[in-house]
Amino acid sequence: MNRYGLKEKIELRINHATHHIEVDVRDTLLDALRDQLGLTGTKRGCDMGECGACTVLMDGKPINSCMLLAVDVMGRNIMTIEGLAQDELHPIQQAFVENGAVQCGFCTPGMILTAKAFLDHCSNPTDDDVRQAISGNLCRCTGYRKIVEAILDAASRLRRGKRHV
Amino acid sequence: MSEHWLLGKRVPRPDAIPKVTGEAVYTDDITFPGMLYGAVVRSPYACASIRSVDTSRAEQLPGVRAILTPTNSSLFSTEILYAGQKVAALAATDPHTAQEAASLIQVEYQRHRAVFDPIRAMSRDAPVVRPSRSQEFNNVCSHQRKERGDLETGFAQADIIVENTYRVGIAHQAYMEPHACVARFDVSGKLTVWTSIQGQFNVRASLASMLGMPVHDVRVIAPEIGGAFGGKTSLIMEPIAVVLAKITGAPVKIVMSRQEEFIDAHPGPGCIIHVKTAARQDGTLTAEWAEIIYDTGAAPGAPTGNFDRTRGLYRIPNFRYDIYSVYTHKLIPGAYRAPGALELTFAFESQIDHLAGELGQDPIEFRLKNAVDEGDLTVDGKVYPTIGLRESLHQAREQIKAVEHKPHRGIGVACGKWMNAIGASGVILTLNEDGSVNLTSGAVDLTGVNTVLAQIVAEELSISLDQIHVQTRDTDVAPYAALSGGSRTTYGMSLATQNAVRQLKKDLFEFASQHMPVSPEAFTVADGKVVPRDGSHTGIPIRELARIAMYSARGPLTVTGSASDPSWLADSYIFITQVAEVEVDPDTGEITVLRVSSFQDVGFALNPMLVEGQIEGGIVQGLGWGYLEGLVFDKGVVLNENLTEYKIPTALDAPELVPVLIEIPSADGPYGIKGVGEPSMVVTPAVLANAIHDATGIRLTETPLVQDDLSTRQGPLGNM
Repeated sequence: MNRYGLKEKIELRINHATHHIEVDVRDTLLDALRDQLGLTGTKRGCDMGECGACTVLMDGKPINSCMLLAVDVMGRNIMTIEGLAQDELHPIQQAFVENGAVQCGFCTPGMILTAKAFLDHCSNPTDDDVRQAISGNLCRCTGYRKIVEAILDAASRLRRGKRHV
Repeated sequence: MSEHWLLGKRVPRPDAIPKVTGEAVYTDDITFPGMLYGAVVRSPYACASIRSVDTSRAEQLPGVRAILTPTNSSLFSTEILYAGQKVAALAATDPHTAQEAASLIQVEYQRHRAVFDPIRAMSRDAPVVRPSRSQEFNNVCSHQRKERGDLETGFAQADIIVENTYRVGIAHQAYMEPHACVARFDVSGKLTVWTSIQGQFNVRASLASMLGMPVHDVRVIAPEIGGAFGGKTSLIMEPIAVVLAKITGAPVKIVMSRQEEFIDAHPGPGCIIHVKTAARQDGTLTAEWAEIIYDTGAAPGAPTGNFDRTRGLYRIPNFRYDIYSVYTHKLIPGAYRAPGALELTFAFESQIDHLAGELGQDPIEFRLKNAVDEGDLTVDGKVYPTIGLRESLHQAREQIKAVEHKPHRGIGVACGKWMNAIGASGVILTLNEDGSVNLTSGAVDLTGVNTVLAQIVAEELSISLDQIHVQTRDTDVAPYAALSGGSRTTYGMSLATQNAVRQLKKDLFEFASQHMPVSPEAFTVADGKVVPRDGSHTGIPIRELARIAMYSARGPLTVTGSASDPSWLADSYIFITQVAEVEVDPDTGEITVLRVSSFQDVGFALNPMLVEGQIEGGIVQGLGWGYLEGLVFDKGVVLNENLTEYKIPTALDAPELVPVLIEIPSADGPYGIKGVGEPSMVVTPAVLANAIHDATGIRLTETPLVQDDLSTRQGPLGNM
């Protein structure tokens, strides 16, 4: 073992399931999700907290999973893109598909999770609110217009869903 | 346009579903047991010779399996021509160990005098990067001249001449997915490579040639690709991964870091354009002269071959354009979405705006007066067919009329041109026993091409879209296709698919005539059935015919379709006019882009939602290159090698986007389509510069069009 290769056993709560894994102490949450747990829907775009492709929700808040060490997230509830759809696509996912908000798809999981956290707290946003909310998630394909439209559409779907409950 | 029931409809991409759930597999998502991870050592100097490479400390690190250096591998040279050039590489059992080992490799350099500015590099006393193709200048990589008429006469006829020098900075494609590849040899010696690439067949050919292997022993699979924009057309890390896999006998993955992307990928080129444009008082253009100098860095890569593809918007009877690419000790540029078009459009459309202003003419009327028409000649002397330049200008004029003028705001207009390629295109269609269709395509899907190919098959067979299953990606499975680029993919692959599905219909009709008393020519398809046109029979469902054929003497219904063109480019002329509205803060010079409207001739939009997506994304990429982006160098070293300091547009930077689709059908394109992947970004820096000029009276001639240039200048701003 080299001087940095220390391993530690940790417990991670991901998408309501508990996982016991052994990580290199240098592993980020992103490393653990992708390499240890096979949850590759979380993308690595920069590894420096700049692009937002690795966004996951920690206790409901969007975070860059490349900026946290895996050993530091014990006891927190993590949601990845794999945990969003239940029996059918989540309304945000559906809205992304139908509004043409997905091109290459590499920013999509992070973008959707950021939108989820945002819409959990803001049910009737404006165009500007949405842009502010997703300004930490870079997309190079769409020019953002259809992403913003999809999130506004998702907000309206979620409001309708609530009324019916 | 209502002759189609499914073409021209806003159909969502089926591949969006696995992308929103996280199930879509990209190259870095692929792992194998026992897989090793590669890392690369790079030169910090732009021009140097390697004296020694000491790997002893790295070799002692547990987990390091192989190290390649200039001593043991021809992949690496001892002569360094740019900062970031690969010097050595290694494979280790995990990414941490690989990075650690790379940092332990000691390289001793002998530094040499370097040259970074292409104009400086052309002088006879400049350091030689590579041998010059010119007797007159140093470091010339290529030179071509385009000319017509008599320049002296043209300038003599003019009442006004506008002369400017424009500089366009090096801009990175900044696809969100960094380059990644995995290489694995199986026991028989066959190589499989998974790689993030625009064309898997190109990789197969290059690797087979490099390794001296027959192409059938090399299998290349292109998984889902996280953006490319021209930046994933050539090999970067694949040869290293392959050699490391060969030596170690284990699968090897290499993923480029974002920093490596900025210092050693192939970004859009830097370019200096010195141009003189002349007109009469009545607004008639008489002559144009330009010297265009591309910075091609340490090796050929600048896109100098697309001049005719992007210029020739106006009748200019006398012109001469000299196009040089020049070696410097910098990274090697490559293709970036409509290669060569954006920088030229920025310069020449700024000139047109400048001339119109000097003549006191409306920029749209001035363009309309000089615009080419059907029958006019392109720069290279080809004859224009029906084109959409005037129509796009007319629509832009209506848009501008509706804009309210406010202080500190400006409106700019600019035009652009592009031509799409066709490229070798192959597909296979197989009719399954339930009437569904497998479409196997050799093209990588960057823009939604698989969706429109499925639309074409569904349209032609009158079956629902969910009955078409498109597969692609794999050189062992798919028929050959050229790489996805040059706005060719939908054009070429749709031609091939149209050929295939029409053959499939023909085969179906022949088979159906054995089961109905009708001759094959008298059939059509309707509601998923083969029916006689005259209604003499209720018809037979396609799925029924598929099943019967499979178990009859006929056998399965499978067809192929191909398309190509030896001239590479299609006879497809794409014209665009864009209008930008900007606000410039009079105190700080901060530029806010309020709205960009784009009037683009798309021929026919097979799927308007996807076409809009291409246009919207292209505009914002063009804005990025126009006023936010550009690599910053110090002695050839990229300083802003991350997404914090190299700023691509966020959702807050992106303006309101108005993509207007003009549909003037192409003569030879399937269903009249024209390429739409690239042209939208061509015009945007020019239209932005023209709008800033309208707002401030200041003409910015260098990208990124930065605030400093506006805030530090007094005069026009104070008078706004």
